[in-house]
Amino acid sequence: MTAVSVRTLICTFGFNEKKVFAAMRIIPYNHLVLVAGEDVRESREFKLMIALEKKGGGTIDAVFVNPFDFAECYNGMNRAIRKHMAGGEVVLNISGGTKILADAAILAAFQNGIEAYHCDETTIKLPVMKGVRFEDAFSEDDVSVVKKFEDGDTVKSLATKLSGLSDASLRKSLKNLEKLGVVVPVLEKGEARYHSTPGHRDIAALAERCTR
Amino acid sequence: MTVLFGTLGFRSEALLPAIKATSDVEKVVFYHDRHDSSLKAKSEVCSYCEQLGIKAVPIPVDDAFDFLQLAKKMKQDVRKYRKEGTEIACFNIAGGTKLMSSAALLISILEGIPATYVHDRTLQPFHLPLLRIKYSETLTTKQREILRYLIDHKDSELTERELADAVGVKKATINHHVSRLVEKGVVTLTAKKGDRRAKVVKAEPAVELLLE
Repeated sequence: MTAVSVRTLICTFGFNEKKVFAAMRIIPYNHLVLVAGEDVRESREFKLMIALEKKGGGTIDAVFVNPFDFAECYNGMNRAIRKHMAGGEVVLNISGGTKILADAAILAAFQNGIEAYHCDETTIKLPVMKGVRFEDAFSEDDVSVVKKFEDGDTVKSLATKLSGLSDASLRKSLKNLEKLGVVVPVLEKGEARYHSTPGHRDIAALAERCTR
Repeated sequence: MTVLFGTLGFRSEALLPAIKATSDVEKVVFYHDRHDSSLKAKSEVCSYCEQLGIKAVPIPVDDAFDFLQLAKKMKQDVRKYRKEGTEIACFNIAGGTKLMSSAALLISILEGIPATYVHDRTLQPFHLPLLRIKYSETLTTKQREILRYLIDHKDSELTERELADAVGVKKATINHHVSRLVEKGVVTLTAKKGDRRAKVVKAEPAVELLLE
């Protein structure tokens, strides 16, 4: 028996169903997922989408987030992408919903290496390098360092926590994490202390995302 | 010199907290459209900067809904400042139209600039979890050369054979590179009109933003 690959179309969705219609016309898919604000759930537009998709013989899911909270939109989008990537290909359309939701979707598309479009009056394909994923930027050693990292660590304090890693490997990983914009060394009392950058203050979340 | 980039819409509050939260900013470069409310917000930002002794560089955009043109302009400006040795502290993407914000985020991702989003209600800048990845480096030198050639000849209907001759490789070699580029989602292959055996190779329009 041959496994059938499912193509999931994930669309950011607000109160304008036409933004999704454009994507539905242009992008072939088997399964539709709408990522939207909680207030959309009872809207006429959302109910119309469900009815329409069912009528067309398709399946539809929805993920609800706070569309004005970037972190929530980004995490919700990542969850949706990863869940559906496990079952086949995922394509993203960012033309619906709030600005924050669309931005979170763009970031998630790049970090998961999936095809992304802005379908409206014109269609723009975003220059996402398909298959280049967030976690590919981290070596196994980098992931070990991230998992044990605490703000203000030195090479010495990290070496104590990572006894299986050689000094050279640890330094190489710190260099790579610095290059990626995850940590930054600051000279304090003659010693380099590593701090997470503002975008990666939540090291636990980063550790989870960079683990393959 | 440290420069902060930003997008601006109708509310100066979408940009001012980012200026306040960034240490030692000497210049603020921001994009705005020509709507009356945007011009009012622009004056507020300029006046705020003047009082703090920061140089404001407002950049009017002709079409706040033309994603590709906006992104190209932003990339050009970022590169110009970097060439002058200027450090770009971050790009605040909270203001302006959805497409202005998305274009700014795209450039932040591709150029490795930290990005912030000033929250609508709390007015606190949220730092986006971006990684500094040089996406063009995930391509081989030859693949980059092929892409550059396709972008420079975007109005031509180049077949694989013509492309092979143009970049000085054998047909089989070009087939291999083009297949990889198709897999990465950066070029398309379509049958040539009048000769279905020949395939026309085109770069996706937004791919230009990926290359150096």
